[in-house]
Amino acid sequence: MNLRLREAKVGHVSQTPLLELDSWLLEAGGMHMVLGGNGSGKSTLLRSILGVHPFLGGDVVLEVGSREWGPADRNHWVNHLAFVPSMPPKQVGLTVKEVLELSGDVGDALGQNPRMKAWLGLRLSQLSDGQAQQVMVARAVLQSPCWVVLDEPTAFLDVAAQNEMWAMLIRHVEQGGSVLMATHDLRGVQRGLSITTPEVKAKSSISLLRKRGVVHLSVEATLEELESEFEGNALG
Amino acid sequence: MSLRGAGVTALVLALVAGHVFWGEVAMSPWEVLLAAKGDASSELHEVVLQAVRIPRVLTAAAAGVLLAWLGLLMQTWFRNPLAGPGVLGITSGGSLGVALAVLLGWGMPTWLGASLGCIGVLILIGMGARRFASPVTTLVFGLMISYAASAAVTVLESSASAESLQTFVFWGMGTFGKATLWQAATLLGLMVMLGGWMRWRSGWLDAWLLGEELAQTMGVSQARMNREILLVTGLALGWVTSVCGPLAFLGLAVPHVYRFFHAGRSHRDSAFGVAAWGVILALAADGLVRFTDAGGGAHWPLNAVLAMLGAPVVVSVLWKRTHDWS
Repeated sequence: MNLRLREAKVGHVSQTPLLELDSWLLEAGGMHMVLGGNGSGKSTLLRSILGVHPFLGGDVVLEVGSREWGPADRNHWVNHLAFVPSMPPKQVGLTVKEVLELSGDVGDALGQNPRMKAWLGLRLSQLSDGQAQQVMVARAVLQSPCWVVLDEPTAFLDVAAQNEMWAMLIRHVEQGGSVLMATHDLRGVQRGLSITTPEVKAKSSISLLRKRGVVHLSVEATLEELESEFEGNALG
Repeated sequence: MSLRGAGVTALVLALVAGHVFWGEVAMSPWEVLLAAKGDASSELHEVVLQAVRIPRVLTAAAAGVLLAWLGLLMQTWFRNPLAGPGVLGITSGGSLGVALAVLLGWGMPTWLGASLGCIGVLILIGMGARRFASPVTTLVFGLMISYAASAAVTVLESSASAESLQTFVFWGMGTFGKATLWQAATLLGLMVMLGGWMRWRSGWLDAWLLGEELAQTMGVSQARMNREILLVTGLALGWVTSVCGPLAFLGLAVPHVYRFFHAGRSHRDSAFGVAAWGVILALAADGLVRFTDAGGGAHWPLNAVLAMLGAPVVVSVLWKRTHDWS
């Protein structure tokens, strides 16, 4: 299912929206990277798409052919968009098994990431940030076989944990899912996209949020190109 | 059933039996059974059992379960180990209601005054919660109501007669011993309601532990959950306070005791164990109250006993896990 933003205005105060977007299509089956500095409106955009923050104008829909659904259709939305926050929840006494069971079958999750088997009986609070974030990604994939939406998911992870997470996301996309990720980790984006298949890459996108709008960059962009775009737009 | 589960169940049964069979009026176990059937040789035995011991043990058990569940619910809702049923100010509203009834001499029974006070605060909190999205803001609002109600109570106390003041102070000490059988039955009814609601919403409550925003993206309707929590908490706590006095501390302590002994953390798995420990703490405390009453020495009020039993338990639990209460 494609995700389409239509004339969406994102922000907190309607006089001064953080983002004013034209039509923006996020194609199903791709990995869509939204880059932007602090305060660019990345998180607010994701929260608006997830339906937990209202748009100031315009809307977002999931579409297949001529059929479309909006966030007001809560059940449909929740079954097709799942969220992974930046920081895994702290001080949660639920076990990994209990967390996964909230969203689906534990066996399915272990099929995605067999390493989690060793942690099933541990509490979420006993895991490292990297392990906990893998559990949160696995849970999101159980909730939604369609879109997984991540807000700076690698911010608290070391390189090994980042690689694990990217592997899970790529597996999700290869199994027909889609990924929307907000991040300022340019190196991660470049490396992550470089290991996807050409088919996935063709459906993927990199977009850079800048003052009140968005620029779309090539998925083939090198790290240097991403950095110069990021810096140029962050300053401008 | 695990060994631990069997032990907890045995403890519950032993305490219930102790409360039924032991008392100031000496009765053999056989006489107790006859009195329960209505065939006792002495009318006193029937009255003692049916009008005193049974309502009291049912009230203590049901109030223990309700307060324990409410404590768990508040700790989940605020994701804070220090939350308890008292934080919303509902108990303080009950105190104010009783203060008005007793100290101003409005001639209402204390349970009715407490009910009206609790309902008043519940309505206020409900209005506040519609405006405040976050439970934490509601919590601060509840605290402020608490302080305001306590202040009003102090004003009433300062100009009350000595006799009415004594009635009010005794009410504030709490007791399981004043409830009638129908009041005990309504507490049991509320227990069924709250237990059913928690089981129905256990998925939402578990998801809530992962964070407000994440829970919403998992299908939890925050507005609906807030409304439902306020309603079930207000009804259950309001009625417990009306019948037994302000006993909120029990609810804060029991989930910690449960977490100390048991592994399950999902609301579905922990509901039974938390309830069992609620019964244990309530009956153990009431046993001590009854024992001191029967001894003829100093009377130990229920609230004092609950805090004496509960506070060290909570501290010892937190002592071991300063970094992680989960």
